[in-house]
Amino acid sequence: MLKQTLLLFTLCLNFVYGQKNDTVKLIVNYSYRFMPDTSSRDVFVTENTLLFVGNTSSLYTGYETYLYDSALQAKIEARKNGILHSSINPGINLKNPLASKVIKQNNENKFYTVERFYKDFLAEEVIDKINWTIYGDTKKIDDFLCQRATCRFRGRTYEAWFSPQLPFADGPWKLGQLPGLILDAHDNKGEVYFGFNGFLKVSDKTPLIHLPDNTINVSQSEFKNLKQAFLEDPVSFFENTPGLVSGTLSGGVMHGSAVGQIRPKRKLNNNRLELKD
Amino acid sequence: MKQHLKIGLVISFFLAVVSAFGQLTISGNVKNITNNPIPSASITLSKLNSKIILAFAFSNKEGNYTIQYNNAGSKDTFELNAFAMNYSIFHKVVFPGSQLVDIRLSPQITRLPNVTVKNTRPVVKLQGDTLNYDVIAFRNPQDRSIGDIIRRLPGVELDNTGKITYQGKAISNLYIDGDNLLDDKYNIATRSIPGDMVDKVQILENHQPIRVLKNLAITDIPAINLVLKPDARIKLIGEGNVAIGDRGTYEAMANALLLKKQVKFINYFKLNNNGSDLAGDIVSQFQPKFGAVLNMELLNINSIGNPNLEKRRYLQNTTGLVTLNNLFKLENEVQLKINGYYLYDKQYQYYEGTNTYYLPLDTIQYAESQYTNRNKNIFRTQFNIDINKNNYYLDNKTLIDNISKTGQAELNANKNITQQISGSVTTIQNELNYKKVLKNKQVLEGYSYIGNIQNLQTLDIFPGLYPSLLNENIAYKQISQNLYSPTFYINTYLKYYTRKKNIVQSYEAGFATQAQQLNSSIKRVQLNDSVRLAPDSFRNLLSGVHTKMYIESNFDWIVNHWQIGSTLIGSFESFQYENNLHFQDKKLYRFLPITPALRIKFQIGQKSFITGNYEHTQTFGGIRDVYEGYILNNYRSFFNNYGPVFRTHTDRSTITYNYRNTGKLFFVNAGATYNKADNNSISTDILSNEVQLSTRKVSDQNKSSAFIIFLGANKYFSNWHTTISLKSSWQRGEINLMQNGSLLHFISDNSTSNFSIRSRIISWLNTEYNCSYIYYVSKHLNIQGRPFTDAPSSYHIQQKLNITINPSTNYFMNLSAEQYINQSTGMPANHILFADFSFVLKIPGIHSDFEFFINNITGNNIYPIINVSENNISKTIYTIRPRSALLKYSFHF
Repeated sequence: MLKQTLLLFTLCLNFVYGQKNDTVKLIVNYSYRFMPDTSSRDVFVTENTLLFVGNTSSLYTGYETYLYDSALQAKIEARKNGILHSSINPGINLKNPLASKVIKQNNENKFYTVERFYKDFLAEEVIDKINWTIYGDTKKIDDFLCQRATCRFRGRTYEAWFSPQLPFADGPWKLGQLPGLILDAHDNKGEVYFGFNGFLKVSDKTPLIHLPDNTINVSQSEFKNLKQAFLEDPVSFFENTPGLVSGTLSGGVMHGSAVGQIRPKRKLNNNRLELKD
Repeated sequence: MKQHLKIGLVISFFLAVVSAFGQLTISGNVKNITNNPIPSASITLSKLNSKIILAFAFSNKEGNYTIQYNNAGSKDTFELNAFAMNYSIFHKVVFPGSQLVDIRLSPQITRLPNVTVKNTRPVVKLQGDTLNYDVIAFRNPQDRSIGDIIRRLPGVELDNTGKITYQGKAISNLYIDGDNLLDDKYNIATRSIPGDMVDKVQILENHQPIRVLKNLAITDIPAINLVLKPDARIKLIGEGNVAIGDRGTYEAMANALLLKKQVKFINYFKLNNNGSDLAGDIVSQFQPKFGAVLNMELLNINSIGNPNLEKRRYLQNTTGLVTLNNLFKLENEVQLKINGYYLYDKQYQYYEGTNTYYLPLDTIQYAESQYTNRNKNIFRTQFNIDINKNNYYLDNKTLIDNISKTGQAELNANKNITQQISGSVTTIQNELNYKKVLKNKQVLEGYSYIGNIQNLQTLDIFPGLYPSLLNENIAYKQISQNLYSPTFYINTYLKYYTRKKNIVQSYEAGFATQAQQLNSSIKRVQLNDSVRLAPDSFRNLLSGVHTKMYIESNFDWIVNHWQIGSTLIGSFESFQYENNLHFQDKKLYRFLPITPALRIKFQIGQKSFITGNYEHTQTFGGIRDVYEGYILNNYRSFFNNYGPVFRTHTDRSTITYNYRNTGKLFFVNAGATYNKADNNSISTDILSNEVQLSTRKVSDQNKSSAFIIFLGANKYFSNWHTTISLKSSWQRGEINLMQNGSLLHFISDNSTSNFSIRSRIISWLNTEYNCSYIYYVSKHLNIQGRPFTDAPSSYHIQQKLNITINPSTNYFMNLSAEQYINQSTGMPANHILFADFSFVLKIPGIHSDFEFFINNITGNNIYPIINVSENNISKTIYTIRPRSALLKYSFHF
């Protein structure tokens, strides 16, 4: 049974859906602010985030994660070419160890969510149609005329400002589907905020948008369970997740409850970016 | 006809009504010219010539779309737009109603609107205890070395001497890629490493360089680390320049830098006679625990300080410096370091001035003019081996240092006098430090220091002065003051470090001894060239030994937001000396001082903390506090220092507040300090119009205190590329002086403020404005005869505006104006304005720069200043560097 599970994971590894590489047209920098716990409404976590927009797909990731990955990639390349002999430590500390990424493939109508629980786990989901209401209000964000729109998405009511001058039906995180890029978005309770910071230069060195290599692919519901388990007790998670370490295969597929029996759960913050409607 | 009209009217009315309340629905498909569907094309509807989108839709996989708008007015005209990436844009004017519009798009490369790329990468980032400044965000085209950039970082200050402070605290070291190449002489790095070699400047807020002491010693002193760019770590960098100017001025420099992981060196030579001070490159920026050369200068030929101008404006010099700094990593964590330099420095100075002392019964005035030239040769080498492993630490340093000086002053003070000085100080020192991790992670340290200083000085004065005092009232040719003072030091200790949970402790037991001699005599050369010693009251033949045994304990308790520490030192000190000239017996003094210190730090959130410090110290004088025979310090001052062994009790209390918001780039530090010193004796000055005699007497009146409040704030506005900083302090000092038999009590207030703004709002224009204001007032009630009735006060204002225009990265010009305003009570204010211009042309193809400078455009030749202190007013006129032009060629590879 154990071996089968392991085999299943190994099969999923790298058995990635028809990968398409997309060149980056635009890089947008947003600051993301989130209230992790609704019982303390003045505490926010902020992260500097990036949206890489291509012709048909996009990647939304943390700035630090991006720097970390590029530094890591550079070191791997250097080692391949025999330049580097030291360790492949990218020399950057990640503030957000989850290293979350959202990849949208608009033509396929799919989101891919990637989070790092020691290894990159990937979940696929279908893009749900967002029913936007657009309004005549306009404002300028960095020289771009933006128009207001509102919607209900994943348990929250959002107000967004999009610019038809930037012809991408995209935006930060999973937001998008407007006839112009979303430069600013926030929910109506003041818990989630994506603010425009600026653009970054696209160069020859900007990596293509593609699904990451070496991911462990799981379903959306498994993904949620894994995340819960990881946050509650990262140590047990590490020890109990097959495919992470060989030798410590003490459990099968994990559930939060199973982990909870081993050691006390960490108390988690109560707020989530995605809520149930 | 009528019928037709009626029908027509009815139809149009009907249509109008329908459309007024009705819909606009358009459907169709989006295909390319080969009839393949285009999915995800966006279709938008807006009023004609309006940018506001009223409705939108996307084409599906089959290319079909439907767009609907419910509030279409009957008379409105609309515009249907379709867009897909890398296809032509489709426009069509549409009217209300339902219709079918099939859209054909032909391939066409989509041009996106230009976006302005801003540097949104955070320019300052905090990671744990490390603050990272992104160098590129603070770099300007005219910057040469990394020091120019460090000076501009918010929260960091680099002053005129090159000293770096972070949040008001002086840094403990400057590392290059983690390596300490230069110790206390980090100006060599800040003045020679090109700014474009450095990727990041890191502030290590609580830096502990010794691995075995991690978690075992609490430190709150910041250090700087320069993180190099990867390509700067591999190649040898060379740069050099030559310059010539009018009046025979010149400058030359050649520098070779290699900053690899395993080998680092900065080796350069510089020479010039254009007023740039090379001694400033090798100035010690912090008192190193090792290698401090004690200032043994008792004789000098200058009775006046330097003007409050930038050094390059007044320094008349001929100077050369060679410095070699080499670091090799023999294996992991084992490094060998050799630092050496040779400095030749010749300086000329001309000034004239008066110095007036207002005393209760008297007014004393000295007037003099003096031309000085001084030569200095400094040679220094230091060898260091350092092993910094996780289980032990070994460090040995050996230093040889020689300073030799000669100087001559031609002065006029009622008569013409020539002073000649020469001297040499040779220092040999060795320091050995070993730390070993014991079981249970405690650390044991052994330390040993041996030092020997040879100090020889002579001062010759022509003609023989003060014949009534020194030469039985007979005119004579020359006074010759000799001084020889060798010193030998030993310092050893054992120290034990341990940590129990939150309590960090260390215990130290040590022994230090200092054996010193002070031999001095005055010889009188008579008109017939015979030489005679002056009386015994002008001679010293002293030797003494000062020993100290001590135990020290340190506690630091860390809990939540608190960090509380204390130090207690109990010591036994003795000082024994003999004076072979003035008495026969040895004299012995013993002291048992106990010196406590207390430290508290409270962290308020992540951004700020408060500290409180108190310390009580007792210090005892050595041989330089017991010499009975007068020493001629300069042509008009005789000092002796005789009395009980000098003893000072000092209390020092400080409270500081520190705030840093790295997100908003806002830094604040503020605080207050109160210092009190109580001495067992007082220096007594006897001033006459000819000579100043200084001696020391037992007194309980030698008390001084100072209360200081300070504030520093710094804010960087990223959007405007602007830093605004403000620094301010106010000090009240109280001091007692004994002059001509009267005990004078002075209260003086000193306030200083400094405001600066550095800005690059437009990419090709850099402006920098700096204004500093110093106000001094001294209060003393019972002094008569001053030319003013109010308390003497003075203020100095200095403002500087610097504008750099760089229309292209290949050339730029710089214009700066500097104004000094000095004013003292009862005197008119004087204003003086300086201006400089420079033009730089860079030719990247041949790695060369051409620079043209004009300094002191306004052509000031003299600089007058009046200084007021306690009961003294000094008026001085300095001769400064005239207008000059210089052409410089620089290259780098």
